Amino acid sequence: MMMTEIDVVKESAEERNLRFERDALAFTDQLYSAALRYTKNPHDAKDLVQDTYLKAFASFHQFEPGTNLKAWLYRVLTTTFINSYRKAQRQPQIANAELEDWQLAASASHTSDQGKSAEIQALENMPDSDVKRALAEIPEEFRIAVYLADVEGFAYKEIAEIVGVPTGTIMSRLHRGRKALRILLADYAKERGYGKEVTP
Amino acid sequence: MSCGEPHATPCVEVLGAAVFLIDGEIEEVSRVRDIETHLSECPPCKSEMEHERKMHQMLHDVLTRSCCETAPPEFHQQLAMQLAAMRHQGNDIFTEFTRTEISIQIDEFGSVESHEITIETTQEFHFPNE
Repeated sequence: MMMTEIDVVKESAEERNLRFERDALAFTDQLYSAALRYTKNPHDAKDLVQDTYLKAFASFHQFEPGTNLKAWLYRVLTTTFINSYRKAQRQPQIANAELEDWQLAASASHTSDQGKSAEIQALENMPDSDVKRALAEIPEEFRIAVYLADVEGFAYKEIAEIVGVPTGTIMSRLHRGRKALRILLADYAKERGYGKEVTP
Repeated sequence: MSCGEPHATPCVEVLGAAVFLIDGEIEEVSRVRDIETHLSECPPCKSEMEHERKMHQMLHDVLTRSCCETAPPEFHQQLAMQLAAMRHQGNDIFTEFTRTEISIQIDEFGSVESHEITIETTQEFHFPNE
């Protein structure tokens, strides 16, 4: 017999807990990778993932089977990070003035045809370590939005729910975050010289 | 940033919407069609859009390529053991079920003949054993 639907009314707490272990633990690597981007170090990342699972375990009865478990776990991860780890790490939220600076820097970028091909070439040759460094350097709100959209593939609306802010805010963070990231990556490429035309 | 030809949808509008089109976040079919019509008529916008699409894809590729760490095996084990321990130890859970029934009947010449309201709530309280 195949069980296609979960009868949450008949399901015992024991069965539900087993279901949690079976379904949720499959996301450990993904959550750990996200936690590394959030906290920027393996020790805090492990703590954050562990806290996420303990919280998710305790509130799993609130999760509606059939809805997006991955998005639900990311919400627990992200809110746990915002509420506790950020405070612990004493990283204040970026001030408005700083946001403006990022915005200005982003809007100042103009791409000529030559610039376009250099930009693409730089990305092609970008080492992983530089990509991670660039992500770590952009403001936290931008980093979370870019990560959830471009690595995890969540839609704007899902990200808004995960982070707990309006969709418009996510659109703005995502837009500015991607631009800031592109500018940083182009800078690294220039520093290291791998964005330039290669002449044999 | 324009080919100089008049368009039903202005260039600035098309370029502003580029990212939403690429992200697949434009729901109205007619709007997607308007933008696509514009792109087919306007080479500069088309070129800009192609570049944005390419950059978007490449940014996605480098990010997913770079951000794919796996958690150490002992961490996987530790999590599995913790959750199994919590399951065996069991949480103290009790379920509170309440049912409220209200029925209203007014005489046959009154406005309200019969109303029935039933409210059922189920609440679960979890007390993880420390």
